[in-house]
Amino acid sequence: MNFINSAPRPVVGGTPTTQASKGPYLELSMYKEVPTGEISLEEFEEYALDRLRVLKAIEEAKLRSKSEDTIQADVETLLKKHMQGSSRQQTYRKDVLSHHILRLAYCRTADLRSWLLAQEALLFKFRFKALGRQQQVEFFSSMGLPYHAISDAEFEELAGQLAAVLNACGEWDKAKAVTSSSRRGDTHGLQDIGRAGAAAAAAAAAVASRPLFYKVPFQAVPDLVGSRRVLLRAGQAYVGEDQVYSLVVGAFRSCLSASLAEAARAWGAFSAAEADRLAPLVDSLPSRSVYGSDNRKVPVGEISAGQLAGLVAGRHFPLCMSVMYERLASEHHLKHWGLQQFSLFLKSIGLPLEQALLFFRQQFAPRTPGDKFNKEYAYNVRYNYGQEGKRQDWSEWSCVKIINQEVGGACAGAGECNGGCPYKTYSAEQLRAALSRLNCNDKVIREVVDKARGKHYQLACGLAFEGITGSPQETGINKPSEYYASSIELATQRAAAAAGANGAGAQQGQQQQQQGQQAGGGAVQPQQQEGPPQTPAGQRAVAAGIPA
Amino acid sequence: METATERQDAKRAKTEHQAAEGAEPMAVDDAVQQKDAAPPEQQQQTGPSMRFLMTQYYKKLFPVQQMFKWLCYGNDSSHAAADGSFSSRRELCFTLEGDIFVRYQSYKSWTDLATDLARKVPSKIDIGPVYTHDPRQRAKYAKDFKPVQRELVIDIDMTDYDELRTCGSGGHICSRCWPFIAVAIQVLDTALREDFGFQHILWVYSGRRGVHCWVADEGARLLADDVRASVVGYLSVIRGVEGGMAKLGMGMVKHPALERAERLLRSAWRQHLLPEQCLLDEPQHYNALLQYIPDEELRSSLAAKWAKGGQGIVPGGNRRASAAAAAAGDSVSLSVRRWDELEKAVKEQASRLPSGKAAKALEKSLDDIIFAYSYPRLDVEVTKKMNHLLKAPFCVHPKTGKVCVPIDPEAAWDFDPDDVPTVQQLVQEINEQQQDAGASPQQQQQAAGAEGWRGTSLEPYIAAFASSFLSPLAASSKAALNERAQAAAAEQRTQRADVSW
Ligand SMILES: [Zn+2]
Repeated sequence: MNFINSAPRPVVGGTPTTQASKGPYLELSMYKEVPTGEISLEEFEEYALDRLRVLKAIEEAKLRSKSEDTIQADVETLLKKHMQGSSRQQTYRKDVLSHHILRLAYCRTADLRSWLLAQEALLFKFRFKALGRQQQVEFFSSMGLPYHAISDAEFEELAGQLAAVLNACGEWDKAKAVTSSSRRGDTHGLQDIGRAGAAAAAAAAAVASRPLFYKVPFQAVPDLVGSRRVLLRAGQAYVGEDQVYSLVVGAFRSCLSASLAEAARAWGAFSAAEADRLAPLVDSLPSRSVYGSDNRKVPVGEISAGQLAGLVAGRHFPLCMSVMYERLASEHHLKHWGLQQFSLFLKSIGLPLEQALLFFRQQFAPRTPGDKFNKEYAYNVRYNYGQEGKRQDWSEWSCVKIINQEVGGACAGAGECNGGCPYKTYSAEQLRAALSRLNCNDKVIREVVDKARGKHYQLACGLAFEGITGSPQETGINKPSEYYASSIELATQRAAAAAGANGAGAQQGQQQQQQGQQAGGGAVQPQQQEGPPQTPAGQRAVAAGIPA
Repeated sequence: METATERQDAKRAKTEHQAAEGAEPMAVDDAVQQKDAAPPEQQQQTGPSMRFLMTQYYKKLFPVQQMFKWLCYGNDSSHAAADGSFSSRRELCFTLEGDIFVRYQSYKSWTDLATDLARKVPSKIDIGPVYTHDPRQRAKYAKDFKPVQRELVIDIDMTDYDELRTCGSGGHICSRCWPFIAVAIQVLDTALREDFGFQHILWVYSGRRGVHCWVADEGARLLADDVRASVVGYLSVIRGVEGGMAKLGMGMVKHPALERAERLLRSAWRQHLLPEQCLLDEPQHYNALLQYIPDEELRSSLAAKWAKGGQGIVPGGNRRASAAAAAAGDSVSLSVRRWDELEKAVKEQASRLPSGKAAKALEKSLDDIIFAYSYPRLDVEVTKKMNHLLKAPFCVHPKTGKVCVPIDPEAAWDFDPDDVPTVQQLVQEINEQQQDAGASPQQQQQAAGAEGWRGTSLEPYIAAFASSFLSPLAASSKAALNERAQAAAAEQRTQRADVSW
């Protein structure tokens, strides 16, 4: 199947060049060439998801403030694991195709575009840095960027300050190299790396016996400027030879940014032509979970309506769901989207349809009489369980969908009524209050609020998990049920450990039971941080901390 | 018909405005602070209404021609390369009475703008970006409607210094806390000129408790958002405040830009901040400052010594005594003396430490204090986005009545926010002028386009705006237009050559 030719210019990528495919850089592409050829639907999807796995892993590493070196190593592993084909050519093909598919999938909103731009630029940077020095210089030269290395005279004049910048960045050795070469005072004349051919550039770089610095407008290297890793004078940044990656990445970024904007304009035509085939698939990519279904299992087995209060009290629900539960319990109402979000979550953690109807009917009862409930809300619940309408087995909303949910309407102020992600919709104040009600550790609350302010909502949620349970959530949270699963798993492990360690577990268990019962009785009380659930090892996980 | 769409716009604009600027803390804060901070004239409610004053202000005082000329960048001229659509693609946003935002206003000429100002009498004017198209017709262009340029702006708000200043908080500003702003202007202005190479920089008092900076070089106006963010990163050192202490993004060795900043900060520290803010006079203030010293023993011995020294003076009188001494100029103020003690103690202690690393860390804490207390604190979000709105110069602050006048960065230290002319005062000045001249009501009407600000206390500010900002800018704009014309001519020649070939 030839997906490229089936629609009018579905994939756009600037001027096609032959350099990418003919040149020696199969390892790294500017993706200027539009791929042509056949690809199966399965491959199409697999390639896209594999690339997403890499990009999301890099994003997460970055957000977790891992060091550059660690991420550099991670990227190599990730590429080997997800992107390697049977041959160099195959690897190259997968790289180019998957890039173009994602370009299409992420072109449609400003948020999606900026996400892809950021992640692809990161990936590109790490791949460029993994090239050998010689290859880097050649790649840089082949781009034809009009930048010049500074002359000896200018180098002499600025050496002190250039060294100072390097020292401020902790690059002591490089600073020393600058200082010592300036004293030697060799003469090299002007090195014109930019317009010179690759060979000349490589030669120039090879013979240079002092560190080279390129003089470029500061706009070309925003990341180096923003972290004060360059010397700035009169609008010019002095970029060291091991920093040219920033120039290359900058060029890559602006190229991709333009291509994404163009793809957005072409999307209408593509989606019309591919309405039955590729468009829905491409459309769904940004909200797909890239983790295999075996990655984190929701504990098997059913739960009952009566257990929900205990689960909330046991702080096993992510914040979005626990606030909605509390809202429902106090206001006896949820708006349409809130109900959708919440009931699909309950379904995914094992609440069967009849239990769900029982639960919601009870909760709505004070404000909504039974027949009104049946008329207005029961349909939606049954629909979610595939018993109405399209009879599709709807799955729970992913975090991406929840985050992007418009929280409007009468309850918008509180956010819970219409659902949504509290890390996004809550003010810092509300967030602090909500988390401290869950006995989240104060220090962690501050970090969570920071992350939320930085728009890293899922990461904020992961941190909150750590603050609430006292144990880190390593795997990342992409669906609310994953939070739940991790929390239950942890409780089960702790219960097993407690039961195995000594016989005193029974006493503690009793205490737990009482707390659980109180909670089940209506009052939602946060439990003690360390309280291990009473469930003996081997019992069903979902029973942890829940009154039967 | 126009009012209906405008009202709709206003409603939409309000949500957009808030979305764009977050929770709009200023508005909330202003409402809370109003009671304490309103000038006595307003509290007494004896003078003419604000609405009346503002009508007079727009008719006779607001330098509409100069403002319009600025925002046109030479495109209002008859130059061959001038872009006639430029001014009508620039968004102005008005805030009308009752906090109604009217976004996406644009004007073809200064007379159109003058007429509309006289009609709408906005309590505030914000300047937005220049878009691809006239913002009034944005619906027509949908996706193609987007910002293409706007000045690089910086906002410094005194409330970000609340945990530091000893003279007041919130909406408060006075000549004693002005040094924070003055040194910020010095540091940032130098960096923008020397490091980024910008030349057309306008500093403006925000009318209440802060200053704005407008960088109008063409290169600055065209910066993409990620580059604006990088400028913010380059200029920022304070990465947040935790537990009353500023987190500093600064290592043991400083970038040359921070070395230069340190020289400016150090002189301001001893000359202005310590004596005028009395940062080390009272226990709650010196204890906060001492937190930065990573040596428990040193901290407590200094605190104990100072606590003793502070006794025996009139309760709460430290500051007065200190300020009086500083004013008399005959002795060093208490805070400066204590700072010298602190510096000496830290250096001595450092020299006793066995490890060079620990000694350096201890000595660095002195730098940390100076940076934490006096390095500019930017409201970073304002700078990061091309389409952020910012209050126009020469607006009148609705709460204080003060005009947002330009500040000469060279003379930032001499600026006194209490000396800024207010709309009340200016309107009175015109009335007196007219009474002196015995002008008839007819002549008063004519004053509208005739630069009524001449002869008032606003004149020096407008004159400075014209001479130090507008005219160099006009020269640059003209040069840019000439260049563009030449490029276009060269292009044409090439095309002709192609044809004949
Ligand atoms: Zn003050």
